[in-house]
Amino acid sequence: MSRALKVRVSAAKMLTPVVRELTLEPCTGPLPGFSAGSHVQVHLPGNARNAYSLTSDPSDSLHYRIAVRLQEASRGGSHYLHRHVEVGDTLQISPPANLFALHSTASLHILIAGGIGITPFMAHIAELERRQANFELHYLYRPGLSDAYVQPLQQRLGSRLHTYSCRPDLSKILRDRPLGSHVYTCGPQPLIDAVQQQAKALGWPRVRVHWEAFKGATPGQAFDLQLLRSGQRLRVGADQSLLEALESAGLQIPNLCRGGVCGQCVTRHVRGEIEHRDSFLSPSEQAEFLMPCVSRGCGPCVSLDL
Amino acid sequence: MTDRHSAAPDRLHSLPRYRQPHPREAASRHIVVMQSAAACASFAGELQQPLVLNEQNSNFGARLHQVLGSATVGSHLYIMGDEAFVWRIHAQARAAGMEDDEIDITRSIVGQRLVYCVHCGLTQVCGPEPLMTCVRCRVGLEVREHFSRRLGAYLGVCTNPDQPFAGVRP
Repeated sequence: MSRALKVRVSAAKMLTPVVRELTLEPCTGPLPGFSAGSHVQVHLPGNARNAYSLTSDPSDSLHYRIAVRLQEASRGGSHYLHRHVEVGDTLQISPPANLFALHSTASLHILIAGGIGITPFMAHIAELERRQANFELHYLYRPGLSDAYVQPLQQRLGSRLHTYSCRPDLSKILRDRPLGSHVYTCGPQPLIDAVQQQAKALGWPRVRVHWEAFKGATPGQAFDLQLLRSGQRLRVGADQSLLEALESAGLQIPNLCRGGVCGQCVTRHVRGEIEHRDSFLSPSEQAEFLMPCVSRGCGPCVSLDL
Repeated sequence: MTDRHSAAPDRLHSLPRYRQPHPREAASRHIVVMQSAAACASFAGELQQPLVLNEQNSNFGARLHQVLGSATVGSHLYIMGDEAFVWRIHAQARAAGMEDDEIDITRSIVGQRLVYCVHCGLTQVCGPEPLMTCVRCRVGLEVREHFSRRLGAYLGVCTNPDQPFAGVRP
């Protein structure tokens, strides 16, 4: 895995009462380039890492920008980035990785954002404008709360921006679109599910539907962990993910999304009851494997082939 | 993030594989493009109100261009004919913005196929025979079991490396 980057917070501002934007600059050397739709993992106290989309223009090699929504029921990562991090502080981040790239041959890009799901689209829009590509943004938000960037977007996009304060009629957005259309959605899971269902109902094949969920690990009950190859025994705390517990013990598990979708951290489980929370494995695969970034034991002990 | 294109290992092989086509019920519009009435596959009768284009009919090229240009997402294309025909239409549909997953091919006639000459770069229509002579550069070609989906053609290489100029030498 690539080494972590050290960055300094060069600016911070509240975009809405619950969304804080952080601008990051490198402490040494240049920042790695990134493609639109990329995210970075921000290292947080307690060995936790949260993934955030880069909202900055991919052609800007001097800064990265992220926008963090304060999550009330979370394990504290967003709270830390809202309340404790200040301008001048340094952070460790992983290099950018992209699981939500633009489709290279699409001739019309339909972007559907829900709330803080606007973040990857900010980079997409910069890239699409540079390519002079045909695109439109459908942005669903709660006015005054989760409407980050809406004013600059109105000026920038004009009639290409469609805003909604409640769930739009997705069949209107997806019906009778020309060949070459691709749809991208990012936001709360119910929105992603609805876009997928509507696309399917209108005969869209899966390859035209792109999505990114930004759920991370959520707490559960504590459990014991047995690693069969190394013979180690670990304890996974209630607020800790299984992956974080493995990393605390010095294991290096490949990972990209830390949200149960990319499939990188797949691990074989041998004994113990598992609560699967990923969106990657099929039910038959889950009988043998789990995604430690989000899934956890729901009994007293789990044994892994590690 | 979630496009698992790798779940199609059959596409890595050097020969085209023709899966058994069947009506795509999820599609909102069915478009059938056939080389002739004789090329029509039996499952076409099960399609709900298909739009049918037959190469034997007048204005076929213009109509195909118009149909592909105005088609919307949700359309599914079924191509029926010999190899040269189906891959020519396939390339046109891809250029119009159709995805591979929206196209079903039925090689319903044993007939002509396309061969790409590695010497002069000409793609030409040929029969099923393994040896041939390039119609432009006259080099003797052996048709390899190596197919390009992009070109819709098989690779033709020089049969005799000691005589790469065959009949005519410029």
